[in-house]
Amino acid sequence: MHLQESWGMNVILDLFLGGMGAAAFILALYDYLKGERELSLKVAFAGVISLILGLLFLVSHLGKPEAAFHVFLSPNTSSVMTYGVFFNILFLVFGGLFVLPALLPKLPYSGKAGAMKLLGVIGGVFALLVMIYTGLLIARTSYPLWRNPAVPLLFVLTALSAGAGLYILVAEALKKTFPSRLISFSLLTTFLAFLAFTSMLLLVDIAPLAYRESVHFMLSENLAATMLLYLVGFAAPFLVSLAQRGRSSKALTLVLALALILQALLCRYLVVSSAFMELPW
Amino acid sequence: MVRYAMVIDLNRCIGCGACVMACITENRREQAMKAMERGLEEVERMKLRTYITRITTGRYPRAGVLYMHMICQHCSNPPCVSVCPTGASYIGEGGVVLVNKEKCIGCEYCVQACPYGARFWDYYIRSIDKCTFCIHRVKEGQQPACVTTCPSGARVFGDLDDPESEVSKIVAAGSTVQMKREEGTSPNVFYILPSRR
Repeated sequence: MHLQESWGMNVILDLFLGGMGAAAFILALYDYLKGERELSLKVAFAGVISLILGLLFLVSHLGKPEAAFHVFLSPNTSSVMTYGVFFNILFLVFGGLFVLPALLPKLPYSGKAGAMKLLGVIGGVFALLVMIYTGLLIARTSYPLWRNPAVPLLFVLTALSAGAGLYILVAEALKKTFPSRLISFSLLTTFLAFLAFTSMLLLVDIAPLAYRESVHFMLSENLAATMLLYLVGFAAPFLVSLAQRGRSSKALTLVLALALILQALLCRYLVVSSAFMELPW
Repeated sequence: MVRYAMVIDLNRCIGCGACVMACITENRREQAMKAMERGLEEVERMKLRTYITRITTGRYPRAGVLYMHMICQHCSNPPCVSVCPTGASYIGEGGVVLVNKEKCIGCEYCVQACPYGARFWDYYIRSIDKCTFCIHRVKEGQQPACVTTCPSGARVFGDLDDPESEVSKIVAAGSTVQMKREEGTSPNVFYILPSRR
């Protein structure tokens, strides 16, 4: 049985930061389009920064990053990664132009509502594609665990949780009020992510040997991370929101935001680092 | 059209590892020289293009041993080629799956896509590397180094589309199997499994 070791923390962080950044951008864009301009633009800015950080981790993983221009010269259109590169870049361009007024308010287009909306919507479309592509990227491999249809869904759901977490963090850092529906939304994505992840574990009896080995690995070598995911990533957001009923606490809000972010990171860590493949030799 | 293929007869393999050494000498000589300076552990890591694993079966007095050969399967439908973002992995002449080292960015997506674990990152040449069926030798009318070296003739190489080739005849006889056929990769390496283990 072969445990994958080629993709380590750099790729995990790219998948995590990219997904979180894209989701935060989408959530912020929704509020921007509804009329909340100031905070949403800053959250979207944080989302783009998160994506850039993720891309830096990805580039540091590449064995020969200087050859990356070949993706543009001779792109392989059957590769999910090729699409991912273009989605990331287009998100960076349109999303970057959209969030730039948060840093430079006197840009020529920053006062034009139509132009800003157009940039935001185009950036949002590519942000959505970036968020979806991270799960599809690993599904298109030879590891039975990664091929599970629950994985792309899990990646999207946890990205949305982490995006909400980042939104809350930015709001708290800027001492602004974030929309309360964000908590209900993140609890919904957390619950669905819990179902998706747990279904991955419960499928073990009818799965191939390598898949079973992966689940066994999650519950043995990676048990600490699995426990942390369930206790902090899945349970803590519900416990914190229950504790917050009646009284609002900044500390608890920060715990909630961090738990949501940790949920996405741990999910990606567990899925990526627990992949086994059965080789004939 | 030429379609290169290899048959590995596990009944004939004596596990000497000459094919592994021949492959390193032919294809990774410079890397091996550098690895020797770094120590034995690094030299061991040279055995990646092709290697042999010893599998023991049964229990005494019915114990047996067989040697399994890992090599790129040069699939007709290779997942490594379809996932490569730059097109560095491609199907070359005779259906041989090759890597353009200039275009390889080292993302290792192909390593994850290959169901046979046949690809690896070679940091000496800064590219993904794998078996090439010694295509440079084949173009000159020679056999791959591992085939030439094997003392028991366990590896047979040739054109599968030529009904007169030895490879073609062995495969047509129906005694060969393809590994992980269920993946839909259509591998062009065929194995004759041991009749007595």
